[in-house]
Amino acid sequence: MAWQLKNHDFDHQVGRHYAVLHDPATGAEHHIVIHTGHDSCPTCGHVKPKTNTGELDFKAILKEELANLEQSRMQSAAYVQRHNIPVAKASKP
Amino acid sequence: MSAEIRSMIESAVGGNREDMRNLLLQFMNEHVQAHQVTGTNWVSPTSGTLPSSTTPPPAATAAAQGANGVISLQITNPTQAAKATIYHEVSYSPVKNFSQGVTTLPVSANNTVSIPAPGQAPFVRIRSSYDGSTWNTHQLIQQTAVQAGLQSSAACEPGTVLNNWNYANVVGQGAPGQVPLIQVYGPNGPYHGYTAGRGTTQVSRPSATILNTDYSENQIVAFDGKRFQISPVLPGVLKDSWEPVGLAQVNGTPGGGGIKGGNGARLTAI
Repeated sequence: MAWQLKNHDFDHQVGRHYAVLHDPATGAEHHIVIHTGHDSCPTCGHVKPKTNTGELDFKAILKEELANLEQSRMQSAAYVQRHNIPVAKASKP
Repeated sequence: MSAEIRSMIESAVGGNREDMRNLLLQFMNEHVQAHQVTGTNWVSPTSGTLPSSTTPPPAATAAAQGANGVISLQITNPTQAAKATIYHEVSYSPVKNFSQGVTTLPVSANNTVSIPAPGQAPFVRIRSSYDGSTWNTHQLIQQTAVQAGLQSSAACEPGTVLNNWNYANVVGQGAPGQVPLIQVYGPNGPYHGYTAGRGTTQVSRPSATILNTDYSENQIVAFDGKRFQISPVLPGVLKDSWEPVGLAQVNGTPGGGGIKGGNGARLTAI
Protein backbone atom coordinates (compact mmCIF):
# COMPACT_ATOMS: atom_id res chain seq x y z
CA MET A 1 0.00 0.00 0.00
CA ALA A 2 1.36 3.39 -0.95
CA TRP A 3 2.05 6.43 1.17
CA GLN A 4 -0.97 8.66 1.61
CA LEU A 5 -2.20 11.77 3.36
CA LYS A 6 -3.36 10.87 6.87
CA ASN A 7 -4.63 14.27 8.02
CA HIS A 8 -3.86 17.95 7.77
CA ASP A 9 -5.01 21.17 9.39
CA PHE A 10 -4.05 24.79 9.82
CA ASP A 11 -3.09 26.31 13.15
CA HIS A 12 -3.95 30.00 13.07
CA GLN A 13 -2.18 30.67 16.36
CA VAL A 14 1.19 29.98 14.82
CA GLY A 15 0.26 30.42 11.16
CA ARG A 16 1.33 26.97 10.07
CA HIS A 17 -0.20 24.26 7.92
CA TYR A 18 0.48 20.81 9.34
CA ALA A 19 0.10 17.64 7.30
CA VAL A 20 0.81 14.05 8.29
CA LEU A 21 1.56 11.46 5.61
CA HIS A 22 1.76 7.79 6.50
CA ASP A 23 2.44 4.37 5.13
CA PRO A 24 -0.28 2.06 6.52
CA ALA A 25 1.85 -1.00 5.81
CA THR A 26 4.65 0.01 8.16
CA GLY A 27 3.07 2.73 10.31
CA ALA A 28 5.82 5.12 9.25
CA GLU A 29 4.98 8.83 9.20
CA HIS A 30 6.33 11.90 7.48
CA HIS A 31 5.26 15.39 8.47
CA ILE A 32 4.94 18.50 6.34
CA VAL A 33 4.95 21.92 7.99
CA ILE A 34 4.30 24.98 5.85
CA HIS A 35 4.85 28.42 7.35
CA THR A 36 2.62 31.30 6.28
CA GLY A 37 1.84 34.72 7.65
CA HIS A 38 4.56 37.06 8.85
CA ASP A 39 8.25 36.86 9.54
CA SER A 40 10.00 38.78 12.25
CA CYS A 41 13.67 39.58 12.39
CA PRO A 42 15.11 38.17 15.66
CA THR A 43 17.81 40.85 15.58
CA CYS A 44 15.82 44.04 15.11
CA GLY A 45 12.30 42.72 15.65
CA HIS A 46 11.12 44.07 12.33
CA VAL A 47 7.98 42.28 11.21
CA LYS A 48 7.28 41.78 7.55
CA PRO A 49 4.66 39.73 5.79
CA LYS A 50 5.76 36.73 3.81
CA THR A 51 5.54 37.62 0.19
CA ASN A 52 5.50 34.16 -1.32
CA THR A 53 2.38 32.59 0.11
CA GLY A 54 0.74 32.93 -3.27
CA GLU A 55 3.39 30.65 -4.71
CA LEU A 56 2.81 27.89 -2.16
CA ASP A 57 0.75 25.11 -3.68
CA PHE A 58 -0.12 22.49 -1.10
CA LYS A 59 -1.34 20.02 -3.69
CA ALA A 60 1.93 20.25 -5.56
CA ILE A 61 3.97 19.98 -2.35
CA LEU A 62 1.92 16.98 -1.26
CA LYS A 63 2.33 15.32 -4.63
CA GLU A 64 6.08 15.83 -4.58
CA GLU A 65 6.49 14.56 -1.02
CA LEU A 66 4.33 11.51 -1.68
CA ALA A 67 6.39 10.78 -4.80
CA ASN A 68 9.64 11.02 -2.84
CA LEU A 69 8.32 8.79 -0.08
CA GLU A 70 6.95 6.31 -2.56
CA GLN A 71 10.21 6.26 -4.47
CA SER A 72 12.11 5.48 -1.26
CA ARG A 73 9.64 2.73 -0.43
CA MET A 74 9.81 1.21 -3.91
CA GLN A 75 13.60 1.22 -3.86
CA SER A 76 13.60 -0.63 -0.55
CA ALA A 77 10.99 -3.09 -1.80
CA ALA A 78 12.97 -3.76 -4.96
CA TYR A 79 16.13 -4.38 -2.93
CA VAL A 80 14.30 -6.77 -0.62
CA GLN A 81 12.79 -8.63 -3.55
CA ARG A 82 16.04 -8.83 -5.46
CA HIS A 83 17.92 -10.39 -2.53
CA ASN A 84 14.97 -12.28 -1.09
CA ILE A 85 15.40 -10.73 2.36
CA PRO A 86 12.93 -11.50 5.16
CA VAL A 87 10.96 -8.40 6.11
CA ALA A 88 10.86 -7.38 9.76
CA LYS A 89 7.53 -7.03 11.48
CA ALA A 90 5.84 -3.75 10.66
CA SER A 91 7.17 -0.97 12.80
CA LYS A 92 7.84 2.70 12.63
CA PRO A 93 11.20 3.54 11.14
CA MET B 1 19.74 -10.77 94.66
CA SER B 2 22.27 -10.08 97.40
CA ALA B 3 22.43 -12.19 100.58
CA GLU B 4 21.72 -9.05 102.64
CA ILE B 5 18.45 -8.37 100.82
CA ARG B 6 17.45 -12.02 101.00
CA SER B 7 18.11 -12.02 104.76
CA MET B 8 16.08 -8.83 105.15
CA ILE B 9 13.14 -10.37 103.25
CA GLU B 10 13.23 -13.49 105.41
CA SER B 11 13.35 -11.34 108.54
CA ALA B 12 10.42 -9.21 107.32
CA VAL B 13 8.35 -12.31 106.56
CA GLY B 14 9.13 -13.46 110.10
CA GLY B 15 7.52 -10.32 111.50
CA ASN B 16 10.43 -7.88 111.84
CA ARG B 17 8.76 -4.57 111.00
CA GLU B 18 12.00 -2.60 110.93
CA ASP B 19 13.46 -4.91 108.26
CA MET B 20 10.17 -4.66 106.31
CA ARG B 21 10.44 -0.85 106.43
CA ASN B 22 14.08 -0.82 105.31
CA LEU B 23 13.29 -3.29 102.54
CA LEU B 24 10.45 -1.19 101.15
CA LEU B 25 12.51 2.01 101.35
CA GLN B 26 15.34 0.33 99.48
CA PHE B 27 12.95 -0.83 96.75
CA MET B 28 11.50 2.66 96.50
CA ASN B 29 14.93 4.26 96.19
CA GLU B 30 15.82 1.82 93.43
CA HIS B 31 12.59 2.68 91.59
CA VAL B 32 13.04 6.40 91.97
CA GLN B 33 16.55 6.14 90.60
CA ALA B 34 15.38 4.02 87.68
CA HIS B 35 12.47 6.33 86.88
CA GLN B 36 14.74 9.36 86.94
CA VAL B 37 16.77 7.69 84.22
CA THR B 38 13.77 6.60 82.11
CA GLY B 39 11.72 9.74 82.66
CA THR B 40 8.71 7.91 84.04
CA ASN B 41 6.97 8.28 87.36
CA TRP B 42 5.31 5.28 89.01
CA VAL B 43 4.12 7.32 91.98
CA SER B 44 2.16 9.77 89.76
CA PRO B 45 1.56 7.98 86.46
CA THR B 46 0.42 10.12 83.56
CA SER B 47 -1.26 7.17 81.93
CA GLY B 48 -2.17 4.54 84.43
CA THR B 49 -4.30 2.49 82.06
CA LEU B 50 -4.19 2.00 78.34
CA PRO B 51 -6.73 4.23 76.62
CA SER B 52 -9.73 2.66 75.00
CA SER B 53 -9.33 2.27 71.26
CA THR B 54 -12.85 3.62 70.75
CA THR B 55 -11.75 6.97 72.10
CA PRO B 56 -9.50 9.03 69.84
CA PRO B 57 -6.35 10.48 71.35
CA PRO B 58 -5.94 14.17 72.08
CA ALA B 59 -4.63 16.22 69.20
CA ALA B 60 -0.98 15.88 68.39
CA THR B 61 1.02 18.95 67.51
CA ALA B 62 3.33 19.26 64.55
CA ALA B 63 5.74 21.70 63.02
CA ALA B 64 6.29 21.96 59.27
CA GLN B 65 9.29 23.21 57.39
CA GLY B 66 9.71 23.33 53.62
CA ALA B 67 13.03 23.29 51.84
CA ASN B 68 14.46 21.92 48.61
CA GLY B 69 11.07 20.77 47.35
CA VAL B 70 10.24 18.74 50.46
CA ILE B 71 7.98 19.56 53.41
CA SER B 72 9.27 18.00 56.63
CA LEU B 73 6.90 17.45 59.53
CA GLN B 74 7.94 16.87 63.12
CA ILE B 75 5.00 15.44 65.07
CA THR B 76 4.79 15.59 68.86
CA ASN B 77 2.46 13.09 70.53
CA PRO B 78 0.16 14.29 73.32
CA THR B 79 1.64 13.61 76.77
CA GLN B 80 -1.48 11.78 77.98
CA ALA B 81 -0.74 8.94 75.71
CA ALA B 82 2.75 8.00 76.77
CA LYS B 83 1.97 4.28 76.99
CA ALA B 84 -0.10 3.91 73.82
CA THR B 85 0.93 3.85 70.19
CA ILE B 86 -0.57 6.75 68.31
CA TYR B 87 -1.06 6.52 64.57
CA HIS B 88 -1.06 9.68 62.49
CA GLU B 89 -2.63 10.42 59.14
CA VAL B 90 -1.18 13.39 57.30
CA SER B 91 -2.93 14.89 54.28
CA TYR B 92 -2.37 18.00 52.21
CA SER B 93 -4.27 20.08 49.70
CA PRO B 94 -3.72 23.23 47.63
CA VAL B 95 -6.82 24.79 49.24
CA LYS B 96 -7.31 25.52 52.90
CA ASN B 97 -10.72 23.88 53.17
CA PHE B 98 -9.39 20.67 51.60
CA SER B 99 -12.26 20.59 49.12
CA GLN B 100 -10.07 19.53 46.21
CA GLY B 101 -6.76 17.96 45.33
CA VAL B 102 -6.36 16.20 48.67
CA THR B 103 -3.44 13.80 48.95
CA THR B 104 -3.43 11.51 51.96
CA LEU B 105 -0.24 9.84 53.11
CA PRO B 106 -0.25 6.28 54.49
CA VAL B 107 -1.10 5.97 58.18
CA SER B 108 2.03 5.71 60.29
CA ALA B 109 3.20 5.88 63.87
CA ASN B 110 6.31 7.73 62.81
CA ASN B 111 6.81 11.19 64.22
CA THR B 112 8.68 12.49 61.21
CA VAL B 113 7.01 12.75 57.82
CA SER B 114 8.39 14.01 54.50
CA ILE B 115 6.16 15.29 51.70
CA PRO B 116 7.93 15.69 48.36
CA ALA B 117 6.16 18.59 46.62
CA PRO B 118 8.65 20.67 44.60
CA GLY B 119 7.37 24.15 43.87
CA GLN B 120 4.11 23.60 45.71
CA ALA B 121 2.62 25.37 48.69
CA PRO B 122 -0.04 23.09 50.15
CA PHE B 123 -1.98 23.29 53.37
CA VAL B 124 -1.13 20.36 55.66
CA ARG B 125 -3.33 18.77 58.29
CA ILE B 126 -3.02 15.86 60.69
CA ARG B 127 -5.33 13.59 62.65
CA SER B 128 -4.50 10.80 65.08
CA SER B 129 -5.88 7.50 66.25
CA TYR B 130 -5.07 4.63 68.59
CA ASP B 131 -6.48 1.93 66.33
CA GLY B 132 -6.47 3.43 62.84
CA SER B 133 -10.25 3.64 62.67
CA THR B 134 -11.33 6.07 65.39
CA TRP B 135 -9.80 9.44 64.60
CA ASN B 136 -9.76 12.78 66.28
CA THR B 137 -10.60 15.85 64.21
CA HIS B 138 -8.21 17.17 61.60
CA GLN B 139 -5.82 19.86 62.78
CA LEU B 140 -4.18 22.29 60.38
CA ILE B 141 -0.50 22.24 61.11
CA GLN B 142 -0.36 25.94 60.38
CA GLN B 143 -2.93 28.44 59.19
CA THR B 144 -0.92 29.36 56.11
CA ALA B 145 0.30 27.21 53.24
CA VAL B 146 3.65 25.54 53.67
CA GLN B 147 6.14 26.51 50.99
CA ALA B 148 8.01 23.40 49.88
CA GLY B 149 10.49 25.41 47.84
CA LEU B 150 12.08 24.35 44.59
CA GLN B 151 14.11 21.22 44.25
CA SER B 152 17.76 21.91 43.79
CA SER B 153 19.47 20.45 40.75
CA ALA B 154 21.96 19.04 43.25
CA ALA B 155 19.25 16.49 44.12
CA CYS B 156 19.41 15.02 40.61
CA GLU B 157 21.93 12.55 39.32
CA PRO B 158 24.01 14.12 36.60
CA GLY B 159 22.68 13.57 33.11
CA THR B 160 19.86 11.09 33.70
CA VAL B 161 16.37 12.12 32.62
CA LEU B 162 17.69 15.52 31.63
CA ASN B 163 19.75 13.85 28.98
CA ASN B 164 17.99 14.53 25.67
CA TRP B 165 19.50 12.96 22.61
CA ASN B 166 18.58 11.95 19.10
CA TYR B 167 19.98 10.66 15.84
CA ALA B 168 18.22 13.26 13.73
CA ASN B 169 19.71 15.22 10.89
CA VAL B 170 18.25 18.69 10.57
CA VAL B 171 19.28 20.10 7.24
CA GLY B 172 18.47 23.48 5.76
CA GLN B 173 18.07 23.68 2.00
CA GLY B 174 17.14 26.32 -0.51
CA ALA B 175 18.50 29.13 -2.55
CA PRO B 176 17.74 32.82 -2.93
CA GLY B 177 14.38 33.13 -4.58
CA GLN B 178 13.34 29.62 -3.60
CA VAL B 179 11.13 28.48 -0.77
CA PRO B 180 13.37 27.83 2.28
CA LEU B 181 13.14 24.24 3.37
CA ILE B 182 14.31 22.14 6.33
CA GLN B 183 14.50 18.38 6.17
CA VAL B 184 14.41 16.31 9.37
CA TYR B 185 15.41 12.69 9.00
CA GLY B 186 17.24 9.82 10.61
CA PRO B 187 20.49 7.97 9.88
CA ASN B 188 18.84 6.10 6.99
CA GLY B 189 18.46 9.29 5.01
CA PRO B 190 15.70 11.70 4.00
CA TYR B 191 12.12 10.47 4.36
CA HIS B 192 13.12 8.03 7.10
CA GLY B 193 12.39 8.69 10.77
CA TYR B 194 14.88 8.93 13.57
CA THR B 195 15.36 7.64 17.08
CA ALA B 196 15.19 10.02 20.00
CA GLY B 197 15.63 9.48 23.70
CA ARG B 198 15.30 11.04 27.08
CA GLY B 199 17.49 9.36 29.62
CA THR B 200 17.32 5.66 28.85
CA THR B 201 13.93 5.78 27.09
CA GLN B 202 14.02 5.53 23.31
CA VAL B 203 11.23 6.51 20.94
CA SER B 204 10.78 6.57 17.16
CA ARG B 205 10.03 9.91 15.57
CA PRO B 206 8.79 10.68 12.06
CA SER B 207 10.72 12.48 9.38
CA ALA B 208 9.56 15.91 8.27
CA THR B 209 9.73 18.55 5.60
CA ILE B 210 9.37 22.09 6.94
CA LEU B 211 8.72 24.72 4.29
CA ASN B 212 8.82 28.48 4.01
CA THR B 213 10.73 29.23 7.20
CA ASP B 214 12.63 32.45 7.68
CA TYR B 215 15.22 32.52 4.96
CA SER B 216 18.24 34.06 6.58
CA GLU B 217 18.19 32.86 10.14
CA ASN B 218 19.12 29.84 12.21
CA GLN B 219 16.13 27.69 12.96
CA ILE B 220 15.87 25.29 15.87
CA VAL B 221 13.49 22.40 15.37
CA ALA B 222 11.64 20.63 18.17
CA PHE B 223 9.04 17.88 18.35
CA ASP B 224 6.16 18.45 20.77
CA GLY B 225 5.04 14.81 20.77
CA LYS B 226 2.61 15.40 17.95
CA ARG B 227 4.02 18.04 15.62
CA PHE B 228 7.27 19.66 14.68
CA GLN B 229 7.79 23.17 15.98
CA ILE B 230 10.41 25.69 15.04
CA SER B 231 11.95 28.72 16.67
CA PRO B 232 14.84 31.05 15.84
CA VAL B 233 15.98 31.00 19.48
CA LEU B 234 16.76 28.11 21.79
CA PRO B 235 14.43 29.15 24.64
CA GLY B 236 11.58 28.87 22.15
CA VAL B 237 11.94 25.09 22.04
CA LEU B 238 12.74 24.41 25.70
CA LYS B 239 9.21 23.83 26.88
CA ASP B 240 9.04 20.90 29.27
CA SER B 241 7.15 18.54 26.98
CA TRP B 242 9.09 19.41 23.82
CA GLU B 243 12.06 17.53 22.50
CA PRO B 244 14.70 19.73 20.90
CA VAL B 245 15.66 18.03 17.64
CA GLY B 246 18.37 20.15 16.11
CA LEU B 247 19.56 23.36 14.53
CA ALA B 248 19.33 24.16 10.84
CA GLN B 249 20.93 27.12 9.13
CA VAL B 250 18.72 27.90 6.20
CA ASN B 251 21.25 30.41 4.94
CA GLY B 252 24.52 28.99 6.21
CA THR B 253 28.13 29.94 5.63
CA PRO B 254 30.41 28.06 3.23
CA GLY B 255 31.58 24.84 4.79
CA GLY B 256 28.87 25.01 7.39
CA GLY B 257 25.20 24.29 7.24
CA GLY B 258 22.55 25.61 4.98
CA ILE B 259 22.45 26.32 1.30
CA LYS B 260 25.96 27.73 0.93
CA GLY B 261 27.74 25.07 2.95
CA GLY B 262 25.60 22.30 1.60
CA ASN B 263 26.22 20.29 4.72
CA GLY B 264 23.14 21.18 6.64
CA ALA B 265 23.43 21.18 10.36
CA ARG B 266 23.13 18.58 13.01
CA LEU B 267 22.73 18.94 16.72
CA THR B 268 22.48 15.67 18.56
CA ALA B 269 22.41 17.00 22.07
CA ILE B 270 21.26 20.23 23.57
